[in-house]
Amino acid sequence: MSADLLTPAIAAAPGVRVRRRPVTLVACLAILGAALFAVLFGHLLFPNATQVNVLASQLPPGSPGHLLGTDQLGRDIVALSVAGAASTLIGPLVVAGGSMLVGTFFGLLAGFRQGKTDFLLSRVTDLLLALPVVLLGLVVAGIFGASYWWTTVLLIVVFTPYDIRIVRSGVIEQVTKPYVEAARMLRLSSWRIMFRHLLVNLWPLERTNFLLNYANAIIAMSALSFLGVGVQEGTANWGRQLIDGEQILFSNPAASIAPAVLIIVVACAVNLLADALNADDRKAVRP
Amino acid sequence: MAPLTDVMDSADLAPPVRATSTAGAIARLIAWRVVGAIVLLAVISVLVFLLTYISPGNIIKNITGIRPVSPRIVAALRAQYGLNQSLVMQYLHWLGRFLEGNWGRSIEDQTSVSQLFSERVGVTLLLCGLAFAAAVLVSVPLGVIAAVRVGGVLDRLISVSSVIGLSAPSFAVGLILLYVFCYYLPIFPSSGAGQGLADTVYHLILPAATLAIGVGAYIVRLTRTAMVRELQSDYVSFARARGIGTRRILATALRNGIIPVITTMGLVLSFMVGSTILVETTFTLPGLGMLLQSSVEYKDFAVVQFLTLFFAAIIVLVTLAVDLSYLALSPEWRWQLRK
Amino acid sequence: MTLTQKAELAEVRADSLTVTGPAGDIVRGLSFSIPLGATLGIVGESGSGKSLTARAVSGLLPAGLHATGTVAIAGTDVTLPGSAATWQRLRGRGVTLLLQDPFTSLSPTHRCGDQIAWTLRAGLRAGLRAGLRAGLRAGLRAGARGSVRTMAARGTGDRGTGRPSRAEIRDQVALHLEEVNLPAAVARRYPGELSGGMRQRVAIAAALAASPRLLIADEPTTALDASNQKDVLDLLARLQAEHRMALILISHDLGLIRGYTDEVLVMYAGRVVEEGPTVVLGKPVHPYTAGLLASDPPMDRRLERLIVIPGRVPEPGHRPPGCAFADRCSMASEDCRTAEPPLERVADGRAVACFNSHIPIAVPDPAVVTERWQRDDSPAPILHVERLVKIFAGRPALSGVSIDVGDGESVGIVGESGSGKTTLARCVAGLEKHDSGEIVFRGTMLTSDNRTASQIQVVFQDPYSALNPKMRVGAALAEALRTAPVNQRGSVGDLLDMVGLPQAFARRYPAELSGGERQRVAIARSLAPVPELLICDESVSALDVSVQAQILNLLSDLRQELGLSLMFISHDLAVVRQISDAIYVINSGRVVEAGLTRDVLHAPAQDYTKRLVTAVTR
Repeated sequence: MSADLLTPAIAAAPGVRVRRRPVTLVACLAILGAALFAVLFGHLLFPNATQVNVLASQLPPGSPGHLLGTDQLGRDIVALSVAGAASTLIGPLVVAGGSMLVGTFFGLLAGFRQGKTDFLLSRVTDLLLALPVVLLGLVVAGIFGASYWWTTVLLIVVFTPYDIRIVRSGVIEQVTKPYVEAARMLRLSSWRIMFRHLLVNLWPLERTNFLLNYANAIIAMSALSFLGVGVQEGTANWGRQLIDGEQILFSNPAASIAPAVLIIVVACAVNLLADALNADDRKAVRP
Repeated sequence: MAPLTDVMDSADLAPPVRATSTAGAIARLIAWRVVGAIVLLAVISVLVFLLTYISPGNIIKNITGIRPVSPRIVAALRAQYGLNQSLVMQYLHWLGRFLEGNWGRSIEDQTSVSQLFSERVGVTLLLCGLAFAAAVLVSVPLGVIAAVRVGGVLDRLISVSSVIGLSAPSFAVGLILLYVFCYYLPIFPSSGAGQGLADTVYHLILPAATLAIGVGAYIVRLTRTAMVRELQSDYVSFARARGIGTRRILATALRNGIIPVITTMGLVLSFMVGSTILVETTFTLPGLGMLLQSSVEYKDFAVVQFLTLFFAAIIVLVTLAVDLSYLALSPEWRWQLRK
Repeated sequence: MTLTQKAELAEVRADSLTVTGPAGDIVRGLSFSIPLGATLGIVGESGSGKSLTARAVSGLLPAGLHATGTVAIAGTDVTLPGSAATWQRLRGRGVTLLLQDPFTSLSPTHRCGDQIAWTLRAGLRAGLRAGLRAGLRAGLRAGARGSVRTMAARGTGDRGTGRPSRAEIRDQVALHLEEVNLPAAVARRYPGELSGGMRQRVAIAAALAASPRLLIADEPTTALDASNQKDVLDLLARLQAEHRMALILISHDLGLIRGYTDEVLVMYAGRVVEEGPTVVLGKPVHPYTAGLLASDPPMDRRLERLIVIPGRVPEPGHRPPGCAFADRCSMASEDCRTAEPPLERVADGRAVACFNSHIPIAVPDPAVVTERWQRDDSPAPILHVERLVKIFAGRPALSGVSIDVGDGESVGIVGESGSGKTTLARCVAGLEKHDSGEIVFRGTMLTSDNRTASQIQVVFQDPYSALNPKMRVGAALAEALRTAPVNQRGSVGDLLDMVGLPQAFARRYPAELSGGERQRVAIARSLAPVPELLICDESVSALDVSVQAQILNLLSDLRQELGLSLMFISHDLAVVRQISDAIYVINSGRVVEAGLTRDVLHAPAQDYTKRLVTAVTR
């Protein structure tokens, strides 16, 4: 090992900025913009994406009129993928938003009140954390034959403990700071302290967590669709495309690789956006 | 210059509380953790038990499956499962049978759950073991390198790769690997677990790699974050200021930085259990994950209940073990305890 | 890289040392030389660049900062910034930097003995390498034949193996511990098991294990209690003499610098403004040095008003042209604002960077207050605390503390860290619930339900976290004003006025304010509900000396204007002397001595108080 190996490690000392080109940020936003476009207008662009066309039969990629070919039901892969953006990306958005709202409320309560409220919430959190998301989703949604929206609700329940934990630890870190104690000395109401003082200072944490949850929810929901849970057969959905496409993996790989790549790209963009915003935030902090 | 008045207060040496209370406090803490784990498992078992009862449809149907059954069998089942008793008694009987190792039979082919389990547990364990070993062996060094080179090209490369690894669901990675290594470059088998150890390992290489990518990406991130923090700490500056070598400093930082990484091993395991279901399904490996997936599809309650409880128990117990190893790894934490 | 052996081995030198950051020069043109065995003090407030100087001289600058100039340490010349290999060779045996905080400068998961042994081994390895190199060179020159091993042995003075055994290392570690007055058993302990003072001793032992020629101690005692400070400084002085090494002592504390250094550099905004033998501090020539000395509160008398340096230290990149101190200087002329005064030699071995160095400084002689001879025996004190007990996790933090604060009185609570003084303040403020005892405020027993904002307010220690970073100053004050009784409610403007801040500050966020300005806002906020008792919990400890004096003056003014009662918690006896009429000395959760401040500080009756008083370095 060379002697100077450690010098750059000190680089990130507070106040020293690591220059970051906005390339990542721009790329992420471009990908998410395209995804948003597909979510909003996908069904208008390809209104017949899910229509079964047995006559067309299965075509390989590069067939005329079908850039990525068709699947065994004769559905065009490009059309199906664009149309599938909505059901793949909207549910997870609701999951991330819902768990952020619920998690923030209970996290604030647990962190600020501590005592019994905290104890109770922490134990419920422990319980839900002991079971992997995919396992819980598979068993509960699978056994109950849950619909798309019930699966979404179930995922909110499963994701919330993480949010509670993160918000709670953020609150506990802030609550002993003099500015919060000064607010307590002014006898401001708990609600005012929680929402006017604590919440604004937890915003970077919330934002990061929302984005990470969104990426995870995309993955989790696609995983459940892949296992045949949450999305009905015949729906345009990337996870669903994966199981259908796996059967013809070797005759038309695009049928499953295309949605696989789409899931990875969108989840990556969301994760990298979280990282990029975080780095910007650190820059904004006074040295 | 002032005269030398270097007198050490001998009482200063011994911290206020010592020895006697340490063992007691640690025992108390261990006891609390164990009790907590047992309570957690009990609650999970109640929920798992209730699965049959609250799921839509007739309980007998849930127990017997979709095939037609004669009234005689229904009566026998009612007696066997004590369906006329209170729910609490039913739960206790169910739990009693469960703890005795009588885990019921699969409705699909009437094989006992224990037999199904023993047939399939090997594949899953081997898969997870291989993936975990590969992930740790590769990821911890990568995380350390990224932290040492923080902000540099290597760091960005490793960090972005780990984000991609985290963003890639195992089934998506699995499908891509399947296509590339089983069709495009046919060097690995596409399904099944093979015969004999060597062949099994050969069959498991792709699935294990798939699983390791997700887990590894997670460990890289954890290690990098922890090491960046440690390398910025005062004790590293002071060690450098004393001329101590890079290798020694890295070892010291890793010793301190690994603690938070180890404490999240419970989450890593949880992640692996979830992913193994997906990976086994993707590669049609006859392991516990695929068994669970198909059992859910066929509403095979006995199997689903057993596997859910099994996975939960493993995760709870590993988390407990991790908490206790944290105790061993962090001396500072032991004094916290004493205070 | 330049690395040459020099005949002149007996000193440490730095020439035109400059540290440049993204916003411009942070330290500029610093030069000094210290003979081995002597001590150089570097004194300055935060932002003066003194710590970065220490890091530049030990090759430990954070990336993003760049050093130029040269450093010579006992025969080794380094042209800054110097390569990593050069520094790796030089650190440990050439130069070692001792950090401020003993609580973080040792690895928490390694035994103290191991951490000392690392330095030993690193030093031996470096010695071995140096010896090899010297030996080879000598060998080549003489044409003599000899095994590498014997040459290596010559380098280390070791028994020929070059690698000492475990037992040898253990003995060495024990010797090094003995040197810092610690028993050998400490080697088996983890840092977390030791007190702050002991940890700093372990750190010193670890720093000296490779016998450096230059030790740089950056605020080595700032994190320690007063009684430990003196011990650690005396220890450093003794070891320096024994090892005949050069010592650079960096501090903001003038008393410490005066007591323990031979030469001194006074730094302001990255430049040396005055340097010379330490005795010259008695008669400063630069107005900044004079101001710094004058604003340091004395412990032997109470001043009517402390002398202050107005304004704040300019940040790197925002330094004015000309003399950086001109804006705060009462003697500044037009020249000072346009041209930068060079550091010029004047009489008695001193150099000063001031155009007006020929004009003698009129040191103002502040009026001494005649303190009261008796505490008011007012029948109803504003605050009466009776046998207060607070237990944290089975350990008593307060075991029966009783105090009184008279109406309009200022009462100091002093003690070392862990004494319980802050717990007392927090219980009185209602931020902690006491376990037993009574807190009576204006005749009413305070519980968690009957407190109001206009009874008691607190000014906390850390100005940087005292204000909500996401709230403008105006909004924070307006919020606080809403808690005031309607008929006494002032305006944001009044509050800013009261603490001496311009009205425009209402639109600012805390991040745009300096530490002293933030503390003023925090005081304004605490005064908004018109409290009768103000608790200052170490409220000036985190501030620079000159700013500390400003805030202390402000507090005295406010006390007189508003008839406030004050409970002033501090570890600093001189500060308490300036602000408090009466004093309670607290140790291990009990009041050990109480009385008029003057009486207690002049003639302490208890051993503990005596220790505190004699430990004051100034």
